[in-house]
Amino acid sequence: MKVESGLPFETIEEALVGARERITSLIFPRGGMEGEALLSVIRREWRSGIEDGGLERIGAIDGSSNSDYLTLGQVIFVTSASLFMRDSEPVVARKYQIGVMDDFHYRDRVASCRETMEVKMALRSLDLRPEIVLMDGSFLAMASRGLWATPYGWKVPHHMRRILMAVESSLGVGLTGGLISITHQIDTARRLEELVRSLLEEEKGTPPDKDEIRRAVAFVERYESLLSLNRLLSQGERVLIAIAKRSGSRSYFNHRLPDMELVRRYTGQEPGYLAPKVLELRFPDYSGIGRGYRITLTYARLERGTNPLRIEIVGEVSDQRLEEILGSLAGFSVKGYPYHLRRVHELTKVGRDLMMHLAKNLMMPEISGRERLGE
Amino acid sequence: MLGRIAPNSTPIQAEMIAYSGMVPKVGDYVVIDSDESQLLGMISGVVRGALELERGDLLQANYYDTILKVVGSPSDWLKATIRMVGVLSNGELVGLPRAPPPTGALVRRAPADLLRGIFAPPHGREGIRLGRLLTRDDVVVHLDPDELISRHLAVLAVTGGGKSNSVAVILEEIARMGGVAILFDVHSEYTGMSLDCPHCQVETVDPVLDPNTLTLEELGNLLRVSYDNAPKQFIYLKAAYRSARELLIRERLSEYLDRADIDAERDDMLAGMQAVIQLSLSRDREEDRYLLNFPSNDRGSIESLLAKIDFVRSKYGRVLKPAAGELVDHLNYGKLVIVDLGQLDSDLTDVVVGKTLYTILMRAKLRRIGRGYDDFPVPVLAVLEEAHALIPSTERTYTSSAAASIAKEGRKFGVGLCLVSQRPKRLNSDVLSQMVNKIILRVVEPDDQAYVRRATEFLSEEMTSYLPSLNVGEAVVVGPMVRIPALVKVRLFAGKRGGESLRAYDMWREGLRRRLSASPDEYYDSIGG
Repeated sequence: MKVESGLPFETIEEALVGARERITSLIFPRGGMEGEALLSVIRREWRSGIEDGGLERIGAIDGSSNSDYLTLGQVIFVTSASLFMRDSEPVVARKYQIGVMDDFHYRDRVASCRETMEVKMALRSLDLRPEIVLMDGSFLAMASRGLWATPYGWKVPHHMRRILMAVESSLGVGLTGGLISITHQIDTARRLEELVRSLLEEEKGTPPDKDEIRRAVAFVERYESLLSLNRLLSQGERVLIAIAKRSGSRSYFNHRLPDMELVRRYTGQEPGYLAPKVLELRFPDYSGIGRGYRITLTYARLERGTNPLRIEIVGEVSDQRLEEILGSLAGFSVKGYPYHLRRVHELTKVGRDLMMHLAKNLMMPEISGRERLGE
Repeated sequence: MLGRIAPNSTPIQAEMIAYSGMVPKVGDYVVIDSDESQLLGMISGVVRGALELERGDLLQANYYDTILKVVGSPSDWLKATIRMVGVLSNGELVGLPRAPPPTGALVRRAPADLLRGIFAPPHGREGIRLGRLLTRDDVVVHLDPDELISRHLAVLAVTGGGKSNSVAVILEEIARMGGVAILFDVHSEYTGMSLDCPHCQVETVDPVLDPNTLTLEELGNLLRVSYDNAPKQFIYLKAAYRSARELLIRERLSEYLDRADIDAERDDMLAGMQAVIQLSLSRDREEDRYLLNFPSNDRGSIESLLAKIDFVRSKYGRVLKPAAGELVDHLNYGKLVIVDLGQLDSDLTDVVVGKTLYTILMRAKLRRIGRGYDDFPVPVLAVLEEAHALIPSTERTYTSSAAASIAKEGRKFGVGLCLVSQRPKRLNSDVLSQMVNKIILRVVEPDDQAYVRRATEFLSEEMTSYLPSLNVGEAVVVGPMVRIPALVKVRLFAGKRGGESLRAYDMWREGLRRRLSASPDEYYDSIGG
């Protein structure tokens, strides 16, 4: 390394030499009391083997979204939610929502729209009286994601609570009904923006600036999602199950490595699951939803040699019910993942080809600036 | 309705996405609604899948079980490749498409009436009724005899693929129309063949060669003496040939045969050549203009030549018969001549077939230009069984020269050639490439498939891959003798044909039954005590 100017000019190898040992020790911790103690805890909690379950009427819900940034500063987005259920015949349902929004925090807002649709589709699926309903992801994460998804963060201005109530009553429809996100629906979104503008002006006495209106609109969009989730959880006890293939959660072992990684490393190859742990799901304070839910959490390997899954079941379930659920999931799993979820994922996927197809149909060949770069 | 055209079609080929529940079949014909007309296409490949099962990592059938348990029946899809074969106007074929069909164009199964019209005999006359479309047994396929004779034909398949039956069907139809054909039957497969038609005639002839009609080149081939491999012997052969021919003309040949003490027909020119050479080598020879003059160091070459002539005469004595006439003298209208070559070795077979082919071409030529042979029956089809042995890719035989001449010139003079082979790769490629019409039955060997594909314009790689799975008698038929390429189930030959597949079990059982029913004495008598 030449240091003529007094400033370094490192190569990546030089940087690696200094950090290699610390990095490898973090990624692959060796022995030590911490390692052995951890191992014994994991082994104590791990239950080997999964017996067959008898559940047949299994529903699965998934959603997908995609968006394209327009050169006009607007975003076109497509979200979808689908249902697949195995009854005497397979039952399938799919709903798309296509819309345009301004580019203010658009990724989080599109995700919020997708989540709302998924939750509403799950709500509708309960009418079909499934024995269990599988959803992709985590209820705990869905409820707590608000920290990033609303531009207010945890600090919600006091006046927003009044605005929320006013919005709900003036839209004339319950926010948790239907299959699409009401606040993202094109006509309602326009009305919502006007409504928020007038309420803010009334509240402050001066016309609000554009960003303030956008923040309030994004907050209401998120609110719709949480309100719907609350309704779903209240109706889906011991039926609703969220399954995650990847998770960074540490809530089970409270270790520096994610729970899923620990299970993957230290539970061998055979099917099995961790003793269930009951956690409390609480909505963020700003949502005004005071009710909490108990969530039964476990990690399970459904098939030999496959990666474990994080499994959350709404409500507190008995060991017998848990075994029944896990046995049924294992019976329908392909490569260690319940096939119902795989199938519904295929049904709902909103890929690039669909976006290109949409762009062509809307006569927008230049949907983003990237095409100019030949990407 | 079968489906709709997918993007990226060309004027030659398109892909079709099938409607749910529709299963297009390879070889079937479809009509495509194009911009201002309709296109006729043939399905050359079909791919089928199931959306739920399309994952590369599902390497155990158990996964399929699980998935099918969840989804019930899988979501089938079918994609077919369509090869364009023509543009339709008022139900008639009017050339090849110049523009691709539009994406999304509707694809329908071609109506049977349309196909019947296309495969009907040309110009309202009779045609060669070959069989029925493989995918439509209500459509009879006729071949155009004019195009078959003038553009020649190759029939290619593995042993047992249905070549001989196809050839028999074609020959029967030709004879039924009053046509003329000669079949060179290398394995005596067709001996005893009869045709199921009142005016048809079949004559099986033993191969005979009149040595007096052999050219110097033909003699050289028979003796394996050419200017290239034995120049000295060839020079003396030429001299002896001239002497013997002159002696024959001057009716003095018998005198030389007597002097040489050779037992032969009085006008046998080959024996005469032997006599000339033998007398030339004699120690007490007299001065004679008909004998060979040579320096003493050439004596060995001439003695070798003499030995070869003697060997050929004794080996082929049955076949070499002076004044026996030509095989082509047997040809006539409504008649099939079968030349039974089963007992000849390859050298003599080559000379017999090559000479006969040359003779046919020469007579047809002379007839055409009005210089004799007015009653020589034309057009005539010459069929060569085991063509890869007679016209090999590795060496130039006399037959391959003759076949090449017919392939090039036969069209003008009404001589058609039909090559039949189970090893196309071993066939001379120049000659095969001029067999514009092809009937390709089951071909298994990959090299042969690749070779057939190279030599056949229409045959796509995908269609070639179906050749091994064709059943006996199922054939791809291409060339101008059919208006569009076709997958045909060749009909069974109605007459009687020798050489059907060996029925070993039946023959053994019959033999055993006879042995057991015979009295012990008879049995011991039969085995010599």
